Amino acid sequence: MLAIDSAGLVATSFRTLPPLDVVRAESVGEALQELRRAKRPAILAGGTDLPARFNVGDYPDIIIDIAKIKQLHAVFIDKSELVIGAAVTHQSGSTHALLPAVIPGFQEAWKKIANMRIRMSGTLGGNIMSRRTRYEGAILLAALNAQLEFATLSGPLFMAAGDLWDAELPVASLLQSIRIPIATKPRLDYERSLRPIFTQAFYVDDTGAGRLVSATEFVRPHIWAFDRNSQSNPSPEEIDFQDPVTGTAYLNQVRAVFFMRQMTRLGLS
Amino acid sequence: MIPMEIDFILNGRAVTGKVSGNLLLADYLREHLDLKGAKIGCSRGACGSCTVLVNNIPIAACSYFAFQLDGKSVLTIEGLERDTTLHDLQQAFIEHAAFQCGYCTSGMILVLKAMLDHEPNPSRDTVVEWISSNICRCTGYAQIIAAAEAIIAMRANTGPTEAVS
Repeated sequence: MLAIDSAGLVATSFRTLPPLDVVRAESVGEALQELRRAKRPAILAGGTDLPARFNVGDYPDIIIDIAKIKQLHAVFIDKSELVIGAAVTHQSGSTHALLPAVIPGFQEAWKKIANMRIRMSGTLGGNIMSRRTRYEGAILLAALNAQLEFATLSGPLFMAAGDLWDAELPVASLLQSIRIPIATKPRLDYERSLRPIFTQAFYVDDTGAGRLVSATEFVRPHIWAFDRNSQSNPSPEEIDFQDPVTGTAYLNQVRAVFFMRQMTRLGLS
Repeated sequence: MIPMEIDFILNGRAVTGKVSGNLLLADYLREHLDLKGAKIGCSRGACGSCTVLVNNIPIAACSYFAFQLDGKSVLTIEGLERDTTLHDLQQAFIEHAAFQCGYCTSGMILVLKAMLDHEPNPSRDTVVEWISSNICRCTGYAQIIAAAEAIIAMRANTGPTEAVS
């Protein structure tokens, strides 16, 4: 009988990963130092996204566990921003008492992401940092005009959530928090009844500024900004989605229908 | 790669183990601790057949590293019965024929236990929401929901007695 030890050197199944080291960081600074030294690191907070990476052959040589860093788990208001720590889980974040008061509709939208098992472990930071088009965090955060705050060795780095897709981040950088502006009293509506074919988030605030974010499973979210003060009856322009599965005409039709529904739900028509 | 020592509670008992960084919890339970109740299905955290409860939260053991157990408590399906007496959820699954092949059953029961621990009096929608974490290809879910509703009704009358005689 084949003896199986804990060293991980004998493959017990196709799931077994190549050998790797583990560091359990106690602080953001410690995590950054480990990231600086690492060759192929993977950051572990909730961990629900890592199997997807492994399954496509993206194996790390070191896992940097950031789950114990307390500051990454906080949800609070800082002046005119709602701040959500990168390691806040979907479940704890979406049920946080602050949400309904500061951004109506955000709680309902966030609660729709993933199933309960994933929600209780998966984090908002992991969702967006995976940069996978089928994940929904990027859609909501782009609509809310969220800023991502990264810790780096040379100080904090801020970036619009919608700019993350192509961004080249410093090697030693760690998403610390997601900062959502709330001074203009934003409201959000999220329509995902056709997911994964098509989903759409619609944001509007008291100044009349709005953002419509449209996405499919395979293409990056498209952001359309408008100002209700200058466009009394806004209508989103057509998009060349270039989705590999669903036709552009159909997607634009659905986009317009969703937009009308969302305008109604937000009391704009 | 140096094995890490971890201390955790396994089905109510304190355990110390040595694990490598790349060892997944599903393999640790099944191959090292001989607990075969967590079934491996998709191996990517989607199907839920390998669900166990870590600190009373449902976790896909195929997508969770063994080292993450350090300082935590894990409950597998083997830890549910007490002194050869089935947990009331297990009994309800029998009475409502809530399984056919049985492959998803341990995960289903544990995710329902987590639900009842978090929400003692859930609605049918809540039951559906929780079990949609897991996939069953036999039952169509109707019997599973019936078993859950039977437990909810029973506990509403008798309180949260988990074991049946």
